[in-house]
Amino acid sequence: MASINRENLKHLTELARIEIEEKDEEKLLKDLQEILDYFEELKEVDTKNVESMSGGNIFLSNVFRNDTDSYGLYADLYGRNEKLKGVFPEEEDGFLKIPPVFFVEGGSASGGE
Amino acid sequence: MNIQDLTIKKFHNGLIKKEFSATEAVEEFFDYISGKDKDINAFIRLSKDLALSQASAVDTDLASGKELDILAGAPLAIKDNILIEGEPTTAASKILQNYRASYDATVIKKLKSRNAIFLGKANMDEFAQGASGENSAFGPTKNPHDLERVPGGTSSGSVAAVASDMAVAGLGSDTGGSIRQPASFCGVVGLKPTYGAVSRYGLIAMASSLDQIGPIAKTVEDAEILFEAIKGKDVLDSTSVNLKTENLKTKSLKEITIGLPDEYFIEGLDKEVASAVEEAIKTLKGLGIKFKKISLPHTKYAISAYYIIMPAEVSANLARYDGVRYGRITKRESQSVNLRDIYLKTRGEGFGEEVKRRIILGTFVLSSGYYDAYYAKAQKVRRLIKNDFDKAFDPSAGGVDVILTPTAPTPAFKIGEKINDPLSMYLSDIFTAPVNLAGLPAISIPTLTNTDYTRTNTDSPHKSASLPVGFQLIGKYFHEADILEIGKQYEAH
Repeated sequence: MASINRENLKHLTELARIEIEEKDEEKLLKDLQEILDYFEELKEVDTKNVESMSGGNIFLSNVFRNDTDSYGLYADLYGRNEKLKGVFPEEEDGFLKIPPVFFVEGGSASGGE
Repeated sequence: MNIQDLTIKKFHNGLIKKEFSATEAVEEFFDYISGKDKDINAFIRLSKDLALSQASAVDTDLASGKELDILAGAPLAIKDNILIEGEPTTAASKILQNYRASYDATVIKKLKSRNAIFLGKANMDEFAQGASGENSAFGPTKNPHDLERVPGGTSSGSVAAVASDMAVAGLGSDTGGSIRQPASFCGVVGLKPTYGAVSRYGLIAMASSLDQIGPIAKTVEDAEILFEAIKGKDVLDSTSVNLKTENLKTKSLKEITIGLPDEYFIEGLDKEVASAVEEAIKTLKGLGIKFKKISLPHTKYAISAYYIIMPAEVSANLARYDGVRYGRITKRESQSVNLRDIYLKTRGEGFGEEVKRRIILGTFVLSSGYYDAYYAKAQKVRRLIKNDFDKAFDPSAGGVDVILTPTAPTPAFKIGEKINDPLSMYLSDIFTAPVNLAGLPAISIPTLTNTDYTRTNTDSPHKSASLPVGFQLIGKYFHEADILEIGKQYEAH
C-alpha cells in the first residue's frame, strides 16, 4: 500500500510547483492517504491483457490538417495582437515583460526581459 | 412577461408576438437577478453591456420583419470556464481574476450567430473541481430550493440560475457529472453530450479526455434546441467529430428497451431517490417502454479510476497557471525574484484547496514508481468500464437501447456537510463518472417538475422529501436523439 508522508509530500509539491503552508500539511496528508487507501480496491481487478484506454474519443485515429491557413486561423490570431497584449500584466515599449528566467549561480538575474 | 414561466420556446413566442422586446426582457432579467442573486450567488459577474447590445440587435431584426431564430434573444447563463471575447473569465479561481478572454469559444461563436443573449458568467467550483458549488473563489452558490443546501457542482451557477429563473437556459461543462449532478439537485434538465459531439475550443481545460460542454435547461426540448445549436465538428478542436446523422434515428418508444443496471440500485441509495426514480420508471413503462435488468460489473471501480485519471490530467492542464503565462496576481515586486519562487507562490496562493489537492494527487499518480500501480492501472480499468457499456448496448447480444439510473445517490446535501471530507464528496459522482470514462451521452431529467418548489425560506424545516431528484438516461455513442426523445415524451406525460 502506498503511503504518503511529509517527506514525499515535499517532493510532490516541489514537482507540482505548489507551495503548501505548514499548517495545511497535516490535513492534506490525511486527505491524500484516505484517497489512496480507497484506490486499493483497484488491486482486485484483473487487468491482465486489458488494453489501456488513454483518451475519451472512440474514433482512434490521428487528426491531421495541411500546414496552411486554410481556415483563416492565423489571420484571426494576428488581428488579436492588441487584445492579447491587453491581458498581459506588464508591457514596456511594445514588449511584454516577464520575470527573469535565467539565473547566474550566486549572482543576479540575467536575461529574461 | 412572467419570468418564472419562460422556456426558450415560450420566450421565442412572446418575442415574435411582440408581447415584449428583447431589450425589455433583458432589463427585466437583470432587475430580477439584482434581487434574487443576493441569496443564490449564481453569477460571478453580469455582462450587461454585451447583453443589451445583443438585445438591441434582436429588436432591430424584429422591427425590420426578419424571421427570428428560435434562440434569438434567449437570455442564457454561461459557466465561467467558457470564453466570451472581451469578458473576464476566471473559472472561479483567484489565479485568473485578472484574465479577460481574447476570443470566443466555438460554442459562444455558434450561439452568437443565432443571436442568443449572454446575461453573465455563472459561478462554479474552481476549475470545475468539486461536487457542491462550494469551491469558488467568489463564494458558494446556494440551492434555490433550499438556501442551506448546495446546488451541486461544478456547473453550480448555470444550474442555479436556470432553476431560480434568473436565466432561461445555460451552458455548463461535465467532466464527471458536473452538468447532471447539479441538474438533479436543482430540478432542471442537464445534458452531457457524447465525447466529441461539441467543440471544446475556448473551454478552460480540466481533464481533456473527459470534459464536454453541454446545455442546462428547464425542459428537455430546450436542452435539445441548445444541443443542436452547439454540436458539430470544429477544426479548432481535433477531438470533435462529425455526427453521422443516420445514427440519430429514434425508434418508436414501443421498440425501445431500457436497461436497469443492478450496480446502480444498491443498498445505501437514498430512499427518496430510490422511490422517485421508481416512479419515473413506472411512468416510462406506461409509455410502452420495455425494461430489462442488466449488469455493469465494473461500476464499483469507476470512482477510483476517475479520481486517478482526472487529477493526472488536471496536473498537466493546470501547469500553465504559473505566474508567467497566466495568472500573475500582482506585478512583480522586485527584479531579483527567483522564477521558481514565482511558480511556488503564484500557485500556492492562487489555487484553492481542492485544486491544490488534485494537482498533487495527479502528480503523485504520474510520478516515477507509482505510475504503473495507479495511472496505468486506472486506464485499464477505464477500458473495462467502457467494455461493460459496449456489451450492455450490443444489439447482437440482445443489448438495450438506453440505460436508466439515478443521477446522484442523494438529493442536495447541506452546505459544509462534505467540504472537509474530500472522499465522501468524490462519491457524489458515483453514478455519473462512469459515463465520462466511457465517453457516452447522458441526460439528467427531474422526476418532479420545478414548479412544485417555491420554498426558499431558510427558516422552515427542510426534508429531503421535498428536494428535487433527477434520473439519468445514458445513450449509445452519438445517440443523443434517443435519450432526448424519451425525455420529451416523459415530460409530456
